[in-house]
Amino acid sequence: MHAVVIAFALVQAHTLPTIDSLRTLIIPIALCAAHAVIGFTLGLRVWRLIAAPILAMVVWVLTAMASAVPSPWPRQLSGVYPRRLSFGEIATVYSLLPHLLLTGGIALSLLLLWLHRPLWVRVVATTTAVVCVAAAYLMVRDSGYSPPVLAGKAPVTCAGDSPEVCMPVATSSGIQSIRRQAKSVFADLDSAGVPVRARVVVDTLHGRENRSASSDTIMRVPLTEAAATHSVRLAVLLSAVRFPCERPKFDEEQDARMWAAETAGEGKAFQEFLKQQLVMSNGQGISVVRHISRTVEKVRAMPRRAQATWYARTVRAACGGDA
Amino acid sequence: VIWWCKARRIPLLAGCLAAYFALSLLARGTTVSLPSFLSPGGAAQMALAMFFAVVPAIALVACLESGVEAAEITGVRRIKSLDLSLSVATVVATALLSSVVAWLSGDAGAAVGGRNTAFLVGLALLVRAFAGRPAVVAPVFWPLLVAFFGFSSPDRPYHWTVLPEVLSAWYAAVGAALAFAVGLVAQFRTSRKTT
Repeated sequence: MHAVVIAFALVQAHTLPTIDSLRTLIIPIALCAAHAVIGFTLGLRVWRLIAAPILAMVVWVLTAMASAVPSPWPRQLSGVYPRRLSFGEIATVYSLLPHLLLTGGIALSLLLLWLHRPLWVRVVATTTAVVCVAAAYLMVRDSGYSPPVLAGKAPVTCAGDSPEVCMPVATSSGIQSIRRQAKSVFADLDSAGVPVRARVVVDTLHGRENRSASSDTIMRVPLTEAAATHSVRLAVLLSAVRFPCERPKFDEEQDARMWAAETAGEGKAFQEFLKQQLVMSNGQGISVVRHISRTVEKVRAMPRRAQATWYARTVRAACGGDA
Repeated sequence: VIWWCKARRIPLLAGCLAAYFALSLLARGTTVSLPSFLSPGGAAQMALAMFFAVVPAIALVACLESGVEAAEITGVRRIKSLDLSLSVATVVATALLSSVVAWLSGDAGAAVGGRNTAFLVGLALLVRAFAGRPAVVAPVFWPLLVAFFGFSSPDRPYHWTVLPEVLSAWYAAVGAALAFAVGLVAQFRTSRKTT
């Protein structure tokens, strides 16, 4: 049943599963078997007509509420894998084990009791159940809401140098064209007198933990998303305009970005992008955009050297430095 | 009547009612957050007590389904009216127990248990008229349906759900009464004696 559903999803997405991605599939398959064992055992002992519906409801309520209780550990046991795996992430074996230990341990001990029951079998069965349940609890007692994952496991390919562009293999079909576009942005900014120091451009799709953490030498750009919307140059540009602080002032930030965009010939695209952002935040978008583009037009009329100085000053001012 | 009591396992029904009472008292006022597809946050707040109303309904159907079929068909005892009064008695008993829980815990909302059981019993009896024994799952099916599709926002159930509605919701009371009445009619028309 699980296999059929998953096969449909795979066909719809035109893709094949990797071996590692099948790990999470172990949980539903094993738990179905475990619940079947538990149900059958109970049905042999007590009155089925009452036990079956009540057990079904109890198990459902417990499983369903486990993901919403305030304490984080029940959801690591419920059998519902409590995290959306993103691109390049693999569930760790350690995070899958508690789900299996809790239900599987109980099922295993009941299975042992199906045998003829000398005392030692009963002892072994009880011990199995207690050990498994206790182990499952101890494993997740201190865990957070989200289980640990292995991130950044998708194979990566890189192309060219200065800048070197790195993307996951799965989305790298246009990597040469993307590299050319990134290179042209770098060249435009260079010739305007504000060279970009980064030498490696890395796709953010690879490892979401470091999404915002660009550094002096590595630039993180959502290349795959940008390639899908034909806005690679704008995306590279936005990452290239860097500020020496976490939260730059809005006006200066947009002035600097707009100037860089105009310089690289992406002015129109940036205006659209800015309008969309402003619509989401406060709705006075168009007038703000007009104001910024007027400022930038004036700057663009200045000689090249002065423009670069203005840019450096604006970037500093955005972070509270003197203007 | 004594034979009927034994055949229908009345003590078991009484035990289930006692369990219902104990659970309701223990879990008074507890709400749980459960997955819900139509609610914006993907979750809905439900009183845990909502699920307890299932217990008397299941027990009733299970008891009605147990018995000595051959003897009942050929016998002369008035099984049919006894069975009907058993359904009514179960609902009345649950309503009384819910009121007691509400009185003891000072939470007037707990009294919805009677209404909810009436609805679920009606539903189960109706399904039983067509499906027979498998009808025991009908009372379980409904709360799950309500949890998945019955909420337009985490604390706002749709009118058709009946179970999570507050005590003062007249449409829920009418729905429960209607379901119970239809269930009793279904039980009357299809009980074994007539077939």
